[in-house]
Amino acid sequence: MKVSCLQENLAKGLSIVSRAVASRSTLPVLGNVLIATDQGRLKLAATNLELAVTCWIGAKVDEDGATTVPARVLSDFINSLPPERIDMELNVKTQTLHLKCARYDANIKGIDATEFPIIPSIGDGKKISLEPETLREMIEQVTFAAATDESRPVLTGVVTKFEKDKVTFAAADGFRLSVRHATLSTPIDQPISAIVPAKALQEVGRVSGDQEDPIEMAVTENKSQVLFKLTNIEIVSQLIDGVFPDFTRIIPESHATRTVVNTSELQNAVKASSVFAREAMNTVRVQIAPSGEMGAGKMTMTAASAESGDNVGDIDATVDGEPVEIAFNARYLADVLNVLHAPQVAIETSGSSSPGVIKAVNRDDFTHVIMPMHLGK
Amino acid sequence: MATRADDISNWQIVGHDWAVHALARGLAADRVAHAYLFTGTHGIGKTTLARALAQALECTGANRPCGECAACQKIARNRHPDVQIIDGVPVGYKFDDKTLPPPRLNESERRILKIDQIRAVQHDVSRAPFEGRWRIILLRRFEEANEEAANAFLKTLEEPPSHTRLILTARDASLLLPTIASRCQVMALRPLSLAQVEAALIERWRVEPATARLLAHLSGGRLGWAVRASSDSTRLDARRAYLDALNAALIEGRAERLARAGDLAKETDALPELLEQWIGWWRDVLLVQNGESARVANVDREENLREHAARFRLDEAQGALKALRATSRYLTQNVNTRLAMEVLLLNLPGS
Repeated sequence: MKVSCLQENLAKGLSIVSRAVASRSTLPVLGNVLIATDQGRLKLAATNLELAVTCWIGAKVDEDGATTVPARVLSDFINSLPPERIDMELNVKTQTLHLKCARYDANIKGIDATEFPIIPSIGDGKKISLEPETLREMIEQVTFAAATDESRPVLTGVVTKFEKDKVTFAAADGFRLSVRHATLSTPIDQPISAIVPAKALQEVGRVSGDQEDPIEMAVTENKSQVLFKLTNIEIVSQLIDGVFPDFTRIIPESHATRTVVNTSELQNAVKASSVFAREAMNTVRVQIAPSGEMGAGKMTMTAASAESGDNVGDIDATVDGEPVEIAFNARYLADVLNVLHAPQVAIETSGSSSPGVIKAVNRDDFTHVIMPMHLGK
Repeated sequence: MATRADDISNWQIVGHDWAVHALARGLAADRVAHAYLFTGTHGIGKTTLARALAQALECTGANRPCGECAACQKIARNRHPDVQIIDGVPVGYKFDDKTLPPPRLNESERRILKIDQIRAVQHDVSRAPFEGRWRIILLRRFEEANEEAANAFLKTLEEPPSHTRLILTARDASLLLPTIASRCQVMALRPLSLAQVEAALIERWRVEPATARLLAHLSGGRLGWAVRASSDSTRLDARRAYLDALNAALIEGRAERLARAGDLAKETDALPELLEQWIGWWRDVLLVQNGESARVANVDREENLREHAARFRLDEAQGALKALRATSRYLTQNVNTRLAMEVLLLNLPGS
């Protein structure tokens, strides 16, 4: 293999694939990045057997070939080089990659490319075309609600459902649920449903920043992998095998009180309360009072900790329905308010022991449900 | 009529024909159990059989396992992304994100299979296989799993995801929680005949016939043990040293024996193996005394055995065996190693 490329391109490519490098594995080759020539370009790939990221960068190929080299060594070295042309040449016999850039030279010992796992290809699976802007927002609004502990593997994933021109992403960790709908520009003929690991979707969100053309998504026939195809990047992830709980039954159908507040005011109030709430299991108490003789409606947030003290914060609210007192986890409130992207937020409640529903006002494509905490009276 | 499952030569397994036949039939009928438990003493071929089963499941060739396709080759080298071998970790080992647990030093090293490892398995099996047909998890020496780990594993063992096959190995099913064993299809592997081991050593591992005969007899039908010993001369050297030590001790007086016991007790790690060899020796002495010389294991020292058989009485040989068994039991408990060895050496006949 003999190939030249620019330092900036290689460094960027490595930063894209490096997230999929396995930090510890019984297969040493998983700590390596695959470097291969591919139709006049340079292909970089890494996988931890769960997530595989492949990226193509422009290069001048003089001689085809492939090898794998330790990801850390390669990216640390490349990142310390000046932004100039890098010439790479592989000694096939010793599997040593020689790099030359400006006045720097390096030899990196690699492992034969045949040892590298075969990254699954999707074949002729049905492709779904997604607008990058929409997909990024869906990922942002849903993945944070997925569970991080492994006791129930399906909950570490995001259930993705496609039917005709509708797409739904949902994730839940047992305490909160995030559901986001969107419309497909090109309808699909057969419904598809798959549980994608939240980490894989976050990775798609991370690398799709510059993407302008639609992102193609495809699920293999046997429903074991999902592919996200960007212009020069492909992400393949193993799907999670299992049955996702029926989340539609968790969303309350009715509510006793609907409270509309300004999102940034609520964000500030939550932030202030969480100072005290963090020592009390993040509990903030929310009191909602409808407008009446006492004046306009308001929402009062209180938090108290035995050690640091307590606080009270009031914000104006348009309240429709019964007065209510309910406690939530401050972090969960902050998480959802961060991804709402709407000036006004509606909180629907029906008593202190029923889940609260959070929606953006004038938008019905996003629903977030948070289980209440014990008021502890 | 001969079906494909009748020919099992492609499995490349020496002995255990009944087990291989059963597995091959299950494979041909597409009825592979979701979890197997292979039992038998160390070095009998449990992991070898498990690996062959994994190859048969993942093989992309015509005559599964073909041993030649990329999948079979990768499994043989422990490099298949969907086939994982889980072994216990050293006592007191702390898991971290950067390093892997060290490999097992020797067969008698005590290890623990921990709940963190079971959790990692649970994570892995929730994902579909990467390049193969199945995700196969081979959990070796499951008797080393602590109770927490075993209990955490029950749910996975009962209902593993559809693409998962679990293979457990253990010395004996009775060492596991009954709830573990009952969730697996148990295959109890038996020791091979000495002739099988000897022939396999000569034909497949190209061992010198004389060495092969000795190793086969010493192995007690554990081909894996014999193969490892054939490539690692330190085992035979150690055995020679242990038997020489026994020979020397038997003609020594009390004071010398006490000194010897002190020396032996320093090598704590080697003691189980030493006691094993000495037990084997006295068994052979008893056999010779009873006119069963053909069945002795220490075939390279028949002269020495005959001499001991003549020198000691039957009850002395039995007494020595009893003392050795007791000592090896004490050593697994919390006794002072030096005292145990002193008592043992003083109890040996001859002084």
